[in-house]
Amino acid sequence: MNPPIDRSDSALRAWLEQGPDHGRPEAIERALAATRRVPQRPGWTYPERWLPVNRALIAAAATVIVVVGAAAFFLRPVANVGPPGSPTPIPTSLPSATPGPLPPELLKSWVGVPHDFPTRSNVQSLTLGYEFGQLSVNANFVYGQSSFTSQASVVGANTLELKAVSNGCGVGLMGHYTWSLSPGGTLLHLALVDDACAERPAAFVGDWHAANCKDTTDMCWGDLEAGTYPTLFYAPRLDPAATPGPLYGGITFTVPDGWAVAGDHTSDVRLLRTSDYAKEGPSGPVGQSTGIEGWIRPAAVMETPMCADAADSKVERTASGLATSLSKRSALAASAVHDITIDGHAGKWVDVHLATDWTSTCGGSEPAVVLIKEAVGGAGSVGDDPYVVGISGQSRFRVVFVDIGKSDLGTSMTAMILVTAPDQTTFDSFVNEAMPIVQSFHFK
Amino acid sequence: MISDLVERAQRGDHEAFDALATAAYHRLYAIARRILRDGYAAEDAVQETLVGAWRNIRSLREPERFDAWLHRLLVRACDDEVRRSRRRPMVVPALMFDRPSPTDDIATLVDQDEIERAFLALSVEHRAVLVLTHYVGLPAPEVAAILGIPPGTVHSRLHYGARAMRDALMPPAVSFPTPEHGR
Repeated sequence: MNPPIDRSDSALRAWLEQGPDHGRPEAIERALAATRRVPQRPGWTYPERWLPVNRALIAAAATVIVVVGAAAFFLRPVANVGPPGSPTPIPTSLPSATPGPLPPELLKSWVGVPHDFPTRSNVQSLTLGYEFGQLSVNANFVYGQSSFTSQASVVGANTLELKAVSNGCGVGLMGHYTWSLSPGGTLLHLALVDDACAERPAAFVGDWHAANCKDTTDMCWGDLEAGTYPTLFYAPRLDPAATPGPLYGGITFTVPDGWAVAGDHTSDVRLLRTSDYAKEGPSGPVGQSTGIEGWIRPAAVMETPMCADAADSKVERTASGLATSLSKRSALAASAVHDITIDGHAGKWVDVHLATDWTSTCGGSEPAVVLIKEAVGGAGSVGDDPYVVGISGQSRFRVVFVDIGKSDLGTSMTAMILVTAPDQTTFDSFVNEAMPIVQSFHFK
Repeated sequence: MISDLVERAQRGDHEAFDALATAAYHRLYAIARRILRDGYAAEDAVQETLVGAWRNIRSLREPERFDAWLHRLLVRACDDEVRRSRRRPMVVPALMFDRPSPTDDIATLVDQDEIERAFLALSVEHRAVLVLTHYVGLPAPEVAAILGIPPGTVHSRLHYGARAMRDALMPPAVSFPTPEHGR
């Protein structure tokens, strides 16, 4: 117990001591039983959480993720990733000072460009994490196997002292590193001053990008500075017969200031303006959002008034086939189909909204229809169920399909990119802002 | 031993998880009950915590941190519980449920209702700091690590909490400071 500060502390402590310390046995049994009713998530999976897994609600939402499962991770090194800003100057000598805690601006999850280092090879993902006063590096999300776990403290201006605790260095071996941050605090650079543990610098030194997802159970960039970024999980070339695995940089994209990545999963990625992201809570958007969404392996669905989402196998899963199919849907009012080229890949786009005479609500409060669902192959859907994307109410979508080449297994793949807005006015102003970002997509 | 159980649970061994959950249950309940001031809500929060722990235990990269990780999940679950209770059409006032009775000299000197009101006016995060510090007895750096906030914020929240308690205990009531949210 901490010593009391004053009478109010004592009173509070006495007050807190009162009351039962034990729960009821039946409540324990009930809680244990409840844990048996849920499956475990793979550790590298970050399922989408912002919309309920309820098929009626799903179809009524503007853009709906039914299940986003298997998330993947990191990539090969990508040139020119992150903000271009000039880092804070790095001190060249080690100041002496009493060790102190890390400043708030460093207390984030950081993502590095994957690279091998002593004790770890075939590194496909790399994170730098701070927990319980300790910094450690984790490769490939292998549970309980972080590397170079070190007690971290600040010993001078922009200088960290690392004292090895376990996992790679001799216990107690000290190292010193300087840090610099980009103006927006999203890019961290660690540089070596000295280290008695010869292996540690290879893991720590370099650039780290802040993963500031609002949903702390998720892993995404959150607010970005202007620059070029990789996705962390999105896997547009994931073959329907292939099992998801770590992937970094499934696409790279370039944004100006004022953008954020709000979600990043194997099956989808979601980019928003910072101002729109600020309106969201940790659980995602309320209502229909304005943003850019990337989706993997889209398949057409058969249109029915009852909102069924059976895949339409007659529609070719190509940009042309899918866009033409959407343009002919009776539930939709669609523009002409236009050509587009992204990252050298040919594609098609079409603007859609619900037809004024479409009345089916899919069980919701306003008209809605299913647009697209996930194409599923031998490996099953990415999540527990294939994702389903629908449109409802006054929402406007620009639907872009891009033929992005072959998967590792030789299947021709198509990606879908949506530019979404809740109404025509918002859409008209947003689409011109969004399309340059869409055009910047580079598919790995 | 705990690390072994955690690693077994991470491999899907439910018996191992049951052992962990059973060992932690009463501690979690005692903390949740003090944060929420409601026995039933505390049971719900602990259940949500354990379900979340089982579901996500594979994401726990350092098994030796299991207890601290559970505490963090518990505080989140308490926060969720408070949000949910605000949406319920009928809520049994916390003051009416399992209300503590004065048990010592200090408690008899103060108005328990005033402490309760002052405490419940704080955010769940502030309450958690007070409970983890004054009831569980954790040092500020550990509280900071559990809650994912800087140690300075722990001190700041302790300051606000103490001020709230002082205001509750010292008539006439001084205007109560708005809890600091975030950092």
